[in-house]
Amino acid sequence: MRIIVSILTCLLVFTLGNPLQAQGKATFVATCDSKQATVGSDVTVEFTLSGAKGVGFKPPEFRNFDVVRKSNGSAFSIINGAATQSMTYTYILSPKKTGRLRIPAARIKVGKNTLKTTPIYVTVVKASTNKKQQSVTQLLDSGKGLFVKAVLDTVNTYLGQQIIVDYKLFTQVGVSRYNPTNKLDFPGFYAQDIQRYNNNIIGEVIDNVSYKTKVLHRAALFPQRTGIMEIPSLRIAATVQIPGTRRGRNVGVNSKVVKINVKPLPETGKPDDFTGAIGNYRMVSQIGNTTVTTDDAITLRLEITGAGDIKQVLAPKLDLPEDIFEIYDPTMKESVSQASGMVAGTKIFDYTILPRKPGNYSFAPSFSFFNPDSVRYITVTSNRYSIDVGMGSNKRATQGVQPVDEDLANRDMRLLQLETKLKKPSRGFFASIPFWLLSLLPFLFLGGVFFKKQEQIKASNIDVDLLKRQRAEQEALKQLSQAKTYLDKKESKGFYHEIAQGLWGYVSDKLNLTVSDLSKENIKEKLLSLEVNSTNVNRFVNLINTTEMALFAGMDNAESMDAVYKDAASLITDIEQELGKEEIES
Amino acid sequence: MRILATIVLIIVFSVANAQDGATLFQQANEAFSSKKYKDAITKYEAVISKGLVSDALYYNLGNAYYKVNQPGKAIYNFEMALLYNPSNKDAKFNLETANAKLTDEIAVLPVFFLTRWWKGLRSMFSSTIWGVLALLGLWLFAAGVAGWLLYTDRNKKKRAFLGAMVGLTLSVLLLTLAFQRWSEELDSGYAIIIEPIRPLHSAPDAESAEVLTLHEGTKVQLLGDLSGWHKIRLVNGEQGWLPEASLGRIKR
Repeated sequence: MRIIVSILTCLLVFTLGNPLQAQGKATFVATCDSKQATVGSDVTVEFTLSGAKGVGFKPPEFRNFDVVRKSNGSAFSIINGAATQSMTYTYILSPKKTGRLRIPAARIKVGKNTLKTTPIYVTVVKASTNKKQQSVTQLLDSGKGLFVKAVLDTVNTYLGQQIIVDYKLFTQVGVSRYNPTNKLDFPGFYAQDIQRYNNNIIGEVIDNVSYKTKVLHRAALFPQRTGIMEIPSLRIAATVQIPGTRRGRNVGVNSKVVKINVKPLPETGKPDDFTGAIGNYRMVSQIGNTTVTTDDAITLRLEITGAGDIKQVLAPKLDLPEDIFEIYDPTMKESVSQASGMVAGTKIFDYTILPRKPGNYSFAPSFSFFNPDSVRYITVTSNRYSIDVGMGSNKRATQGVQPVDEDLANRDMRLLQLETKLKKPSRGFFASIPFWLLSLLPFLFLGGVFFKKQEQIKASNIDVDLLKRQRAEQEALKQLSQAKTYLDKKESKGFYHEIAQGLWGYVSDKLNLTVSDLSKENIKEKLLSLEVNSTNVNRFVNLINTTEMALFAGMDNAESMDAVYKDAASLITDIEQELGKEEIES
Repeated sequence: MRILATIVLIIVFSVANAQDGATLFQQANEAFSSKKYKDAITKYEAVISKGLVSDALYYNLGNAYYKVNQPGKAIYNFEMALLYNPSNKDAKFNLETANAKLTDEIAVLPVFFLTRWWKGLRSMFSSTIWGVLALLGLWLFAAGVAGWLLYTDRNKKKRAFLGAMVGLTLSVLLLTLAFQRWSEELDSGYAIIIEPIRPLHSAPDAESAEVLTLHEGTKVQLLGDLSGWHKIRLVNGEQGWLPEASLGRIKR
């Protein structure tokens, strides 16, 4: 629990800490919910400071208004991970007179700077002369309380011109719920719904009556035929609150069908290269290389951007002589956007141009469209390009780009090949088993190298003394087997020499004694300290004495030699067992 | 023992088969020389049906087809000769000549320059040579790693490591080239239209709309197949469907 609290605290510190320390861009704006209002109605004005902390807010002088109520509040919002703090001062005003009334600038201090809002204007008209206050029910029954209207930006249009239609809800009553009940279908139009637009509630005045309005649906329409055309109606089911009752009243309202007149495009001034694009466009061009040979291809990109039905924008024809330049149909990329509440887009055309003959040529890509706002055809051109075509090797001819080469077609075929070696079709060396085996070899070699390296490392780490101790018995037995051969040949001197060497060598290796340290006393002491049975130690010392004696005196009794041999062999195994074999540590 | 006998039998049989094939090839050449082209075609085809091939065999067969005025099959066989031996100059020459006489002129779309370079590089050597070069690259890599492991001198170690990296990069590149070249040698992915007149369909169905009419000898790229139909692309980028039987596929 405590952890959660501390995490929350951290989060709070972070989110709160950021806007206070990193004050990015402070904005101070004034907004008003009404463009139009009647005398005596309410107008809400908000002054919002965001992205900074301000002090000393100074409201404007509301000379033409009565202040009904004022309040202020602050809010935090996190957009794309960045937190912003905002402070809003709200005034509810009541206009005192008619006309275009000004709400002057408000001021606030942020740090050392003073920020100002821009003034707002509200058109105020006389309230309806019908002073008699109508009830909500009466308003609804008269059809003035709540209605939907299709609002167009123009009713006189040209074929293919973009028309923006807003379905707007007007209300004088409190609406708790509303939704469209029919799906809009625009026969004869290419229509596109606009997803993002300003759908705030705005005050408007019609016939001296003020309404709250809201855009419910916005569409961009492109008429596809001329004549009188109809904008269909939108049906809304709404629930209206009746004051003094707890239940609402369900109301259904339809917008009126609006008729528009669609005119054909004017014939006068129509450019030759006009292909039906209507709207407002601009064009940028980019060329790859202007110094080329007849082997090369020139790439050209035209990018046309603007408001209108971008699908109607066709690839502009390039003003290049056809017998010299071969122009392939361009590839195109199209993207449609709905920026600024209308349909706009970008279309990119990529041309590939193949020059056929050398020379200098000049051309400027151009594009024509009809602009309905200015009722004019407009031709936009981009940079003029001059292309320098040099003579190439004309290698492309063999790839079949060019028409049939007469020389090539008329030459004789070459004769038969008489010598050959017929074979079963093989699958080739690559991907055959020998190939893969061969490709394994380098890795086997690497494996060997690794192994060798490992061995080296091991060898350099091994304790020499330990190795000696481990091999002591083996070496001694080797010596004894040598002695055995002397025994068989009855050579006593060689025999005793080997036995002595075997015994001395064994203890030297086993006890890690250097030759200078080898003495009977030393050995006795060491063996006893290693907890070797004292009888064995004595046997060992006696055996060494016997061999020394024998070497000096030259004894060659076969029986005693045999006994000495057996004794030596058993003694070494006995001592070895007692000392135990040390484990090999690697 | 029995296995040994079988192997001996197979060897004897295949040698006999090859000798048989060589005789047939001779006879076919003689038939061609005495202008009995149809006879020559049957004999060349008989050699192929024995499972024996060579570039000269396909080249001669192409010439025979050319003589009996079947340019589609002639071009197909020249292409096959080049598949088995890309450096067969006669086959290249005759293919160009035959192609120049085709009725259809289809514009070639320019190829992106990197693709063109890569294809040019790939066709410089056969898959065997690319494979051997890749092996050398692997050995360079192995030697580099070995040097890096065994040298004690810092500078030598560094150079050996660099060698190993170069070897690794080279061998990956060369193996890729070898593999691509190898699959290209087995199946070029292209085919020649061998029927005199062939409508290009918009779907794998004889009832579907005909996009355009193609003539024999046209080279098409194979994109995929579905129940006896091949999706193809022409050099100008146009696509459509053709039945299997109308195509001679350039593959082993």
